[in-house]
Amino acid sequence: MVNKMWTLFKKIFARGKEQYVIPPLDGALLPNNAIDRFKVIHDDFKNIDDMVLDLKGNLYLSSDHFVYRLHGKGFSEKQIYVELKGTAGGLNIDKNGNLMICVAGQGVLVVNKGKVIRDLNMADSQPINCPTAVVSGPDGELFITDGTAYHEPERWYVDLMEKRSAGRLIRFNNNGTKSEVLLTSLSYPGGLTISNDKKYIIMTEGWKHRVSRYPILDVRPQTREVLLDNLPGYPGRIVTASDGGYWMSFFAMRTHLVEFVLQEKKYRLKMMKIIDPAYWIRPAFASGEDFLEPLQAGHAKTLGIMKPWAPPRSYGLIVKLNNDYEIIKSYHCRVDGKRHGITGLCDDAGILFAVSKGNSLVLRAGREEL
Amino acid sequence: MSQLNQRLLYLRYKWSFKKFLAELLEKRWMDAIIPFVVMVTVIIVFGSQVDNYFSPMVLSMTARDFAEPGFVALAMAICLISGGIDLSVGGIFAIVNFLALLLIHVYGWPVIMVVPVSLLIGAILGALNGLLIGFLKTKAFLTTLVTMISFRAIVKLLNLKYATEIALSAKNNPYESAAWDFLGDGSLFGIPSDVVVLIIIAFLGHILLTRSRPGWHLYAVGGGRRSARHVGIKVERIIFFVYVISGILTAIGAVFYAARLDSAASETGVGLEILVLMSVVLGGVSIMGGKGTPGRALMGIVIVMVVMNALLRLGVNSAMNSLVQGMILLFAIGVDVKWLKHLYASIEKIYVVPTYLSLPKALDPRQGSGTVFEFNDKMEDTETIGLDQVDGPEDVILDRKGRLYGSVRQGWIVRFSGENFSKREIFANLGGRPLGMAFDKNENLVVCVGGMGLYGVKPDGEVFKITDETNRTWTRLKDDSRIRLADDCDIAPDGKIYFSEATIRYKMEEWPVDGQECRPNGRLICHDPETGITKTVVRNLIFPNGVCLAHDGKSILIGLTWKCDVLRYWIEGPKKGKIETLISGLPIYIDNINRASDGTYWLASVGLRTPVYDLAMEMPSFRLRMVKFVPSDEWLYPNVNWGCVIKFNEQGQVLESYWDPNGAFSHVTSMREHKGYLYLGGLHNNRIGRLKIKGADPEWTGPNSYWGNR
Repeated sequence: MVNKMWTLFKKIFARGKEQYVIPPLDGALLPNNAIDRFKVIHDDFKNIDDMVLDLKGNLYLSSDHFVYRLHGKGFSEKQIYVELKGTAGGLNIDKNGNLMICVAGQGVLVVNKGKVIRDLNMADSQPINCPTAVVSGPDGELFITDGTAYHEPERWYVDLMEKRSAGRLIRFNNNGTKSEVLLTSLSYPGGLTISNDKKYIIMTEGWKHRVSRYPILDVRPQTREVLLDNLPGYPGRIVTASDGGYWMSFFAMRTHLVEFVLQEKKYRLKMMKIIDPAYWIRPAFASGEDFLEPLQAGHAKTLGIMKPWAPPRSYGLIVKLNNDYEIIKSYHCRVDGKRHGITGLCDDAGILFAVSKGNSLVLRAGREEL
Repeated sequence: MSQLNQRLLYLRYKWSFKKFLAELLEKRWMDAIIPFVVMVTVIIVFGSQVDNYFSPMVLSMTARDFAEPGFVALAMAICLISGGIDLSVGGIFAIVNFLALLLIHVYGWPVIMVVPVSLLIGAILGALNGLLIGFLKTKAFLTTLVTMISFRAIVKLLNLKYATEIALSAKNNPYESAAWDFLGDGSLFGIPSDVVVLIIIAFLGHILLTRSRPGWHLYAVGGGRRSARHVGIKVERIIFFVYVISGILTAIGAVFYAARLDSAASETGVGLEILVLMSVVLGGVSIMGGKGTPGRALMGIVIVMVVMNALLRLGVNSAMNSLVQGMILLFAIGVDVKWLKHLYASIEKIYVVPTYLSLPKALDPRQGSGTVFEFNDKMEDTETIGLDQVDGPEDVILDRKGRLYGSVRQGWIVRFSGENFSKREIFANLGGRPLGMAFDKNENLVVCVGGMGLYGVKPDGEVFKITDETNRTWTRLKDDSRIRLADDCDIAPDGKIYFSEATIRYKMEEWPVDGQECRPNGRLICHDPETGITKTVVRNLIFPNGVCLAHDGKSILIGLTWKCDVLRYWIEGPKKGKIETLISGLPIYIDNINRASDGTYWLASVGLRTPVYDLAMEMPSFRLRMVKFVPSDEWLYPNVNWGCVIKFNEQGQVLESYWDPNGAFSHVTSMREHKGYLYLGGLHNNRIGRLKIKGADPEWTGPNSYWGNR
């Protein structure tokens, strides 16, 4: 009640003021061109999303309806590992070395040697339509984030522009027979990992721009501990780093204009009703190729140059967190760059692999690039 | 949305009280609105409380009382405006009063001598202040405090020596002089003599301060002494003369006082400095300097005198009188300070008033759409001229010798000549932001200069002003006589120059704000070089940009940027003076329009319409909030990173479009055809483009097309 009154008060007296809270990219987040220096190892996949390394050193890549296995020197060779009915998204490896695949509209599949051994598609009698991340706990149980109840992962931006909070965190027991919905009303949870000390489960929430953790044995709304709040972008996947700490990617950045449009109900609804989603005012994985896209003042080319500090419709950002969950380093591909929409990360003993979904690139960063 | 609904929305946003209010508050004279309201209020309130307040007799007496401190108030005002203060006015007043009486009664000088000598004494005393403050740079407050004490001491000394003498001689042989009596209680047309003089001086002072070079220098010194010095104003001299004038004005008041009261009492002028200081501050003359006018100073003194006088006559005792006075002053000063402090911030908050604009659905320019605007690679082979040698050539033009001119951001006209246009020179330096250009019959280059007006450049590079003013719209509150953003021009066969002014509400660098507002703020202006008269011919256009004379010379084509329309304005023939829409609702934002060799026209597009921007145009309140809450760098814009050139014919039919797939010539704002090539300019580009046009007449040039072969 108090909350509602407060919201009403703000609506009347402080319309549009909320957007001023986007923090600037400063300190450890100071922009650089580090991602532009990463090496491209593949640029011929379509609609790629995530990567994971299995216990034997194979790299798996989700692309469209397939999961590819990359192998050989520098992972330059590829072969189809498994074909799916939906678009493959988040990947992970469970305790026994099986591959777990998030499939849009289908749920999560656990695959052993190319064969599906478990199909987790329902929780609490609701289908898992928007699986975004999966992780295996210390006892072999599976944690799955269902981004939203309303859309499949490809339509994530609709979920944002509709201002939904319809995500879930689900736990399956280790043989996949029993499911339990641990958390509901999450704002597009998109990344999951187990903390380095194996005591916590860490989760990112896109639309709330935050990272939280829960004790792994006691996941309840009340046990939530917010680690990072009011981030300047929409945090996506998070993975543990081989030298301690974590890697986290932002699939897009917040802008004043998008935050403003989120406040403007009439305009937003009409825009969603009559305009092609490609041309909405919204964050995107990639931008700048189509001239009907919205343009902001800062984007205007001057003397033939697009300024790197223009408001980012799309952006590339990877951050390194330490074990205290502080951002200690960041890797950027700025507005004028072409490696945007970083969705997947994978750490192979100090070598970082990253997926630029916006520009369909598989990137590799060795020690000199990091 | 239904037609009716659209119409209603349009009307709802067409006239805006907020816009009116913002333009009203922007007026300079609105600074004084609070003192004015206070003045009227006290006159009404006290006038109704006191019997016979407005009878001619009482009014004339009150006015006579008010005029003497009135002169001193002017003196104080001019000191405050200069950034100083003169506390010694009371002392000067007393000395001059005393000496005038001494000269009259003891020495028996004629009035014709006494008056100039008194004024001279005032000037000398003022000059003393001026010397100390102006040239020795002592602080005005302390200096005049010291001189105030000294002058007072002098009055006391003089009084000890001559008071009885004056009193005796005044009693024993009364001074008989019609002139002296006239000064004391004469009147002209029923107005007391001192009031007449005061009004004349205040009027002249107002003209001098607001309309003359020394006056402006004075405001400059008061507003920022260091800046004034840096621009070469002789600050010391100005300040010296300010105190001299202050002394003279005080002396005038003192002479009238002497003539009226004939009193050499030593307490003459005690507390006068505080009274006038309060009055002028109350009238809105800023104590910080640089602000105020004689009129406001007089308004302040009227308020104070009315209150004092009325309280006296209401029988309020003098202590109470002072207290009430103090309260009123405190209140008024408080309100005044707040008003001035928040006025400009308030104007800024309400100045932008977006309006409703519904554009017709745009033809699809995307690849594969099959429309005439379909994206293509016709501009792929564009050559580059002057890469990184030009900063934003808004317009480009070629002369008879094939030399290429570009109007660039630095305020220059850059000229390229020689083989492959490799020789670059600065042809003319205009200042401002040169935009559209045209050659007249005598090969003078006529240039629209944003922020300045319409200028010309002779073939030898000499710059001359053509016009920077047009007739004012008297029905409009905002003074629109000054040309702020001349955008593009063209010249009719009879030599008349037609040019567009994109907006009258914003400055050159604020043009995108006008885009957010989308109000018909622009106009078409015509300058006739024969008569030298400049006249607005079409008002209320939505950002008129390109201007082009039709091939037959009988009409002018005007491109409206935000409206995406091309208009035709007839200057000859049966439809002369009429305006009609030629093309409506293009999918691109229109910039310059120019002739093509095949009898058609080229049109440059500064950007593309995007669906979200079109939608925002239909939601004025959305745009208003965006302008308020979103940083200007993040405002929604039309897509200005992609531009194109289109060709249309006399009937308004779009024939073809030229696109640059590389995006190097994004944001095309102008193009000129010359001998089979098209030259491209852009407001934010670092180059000029040159494109071979298929099938164009290889001999055709602009100057020939306009003025014939030579």
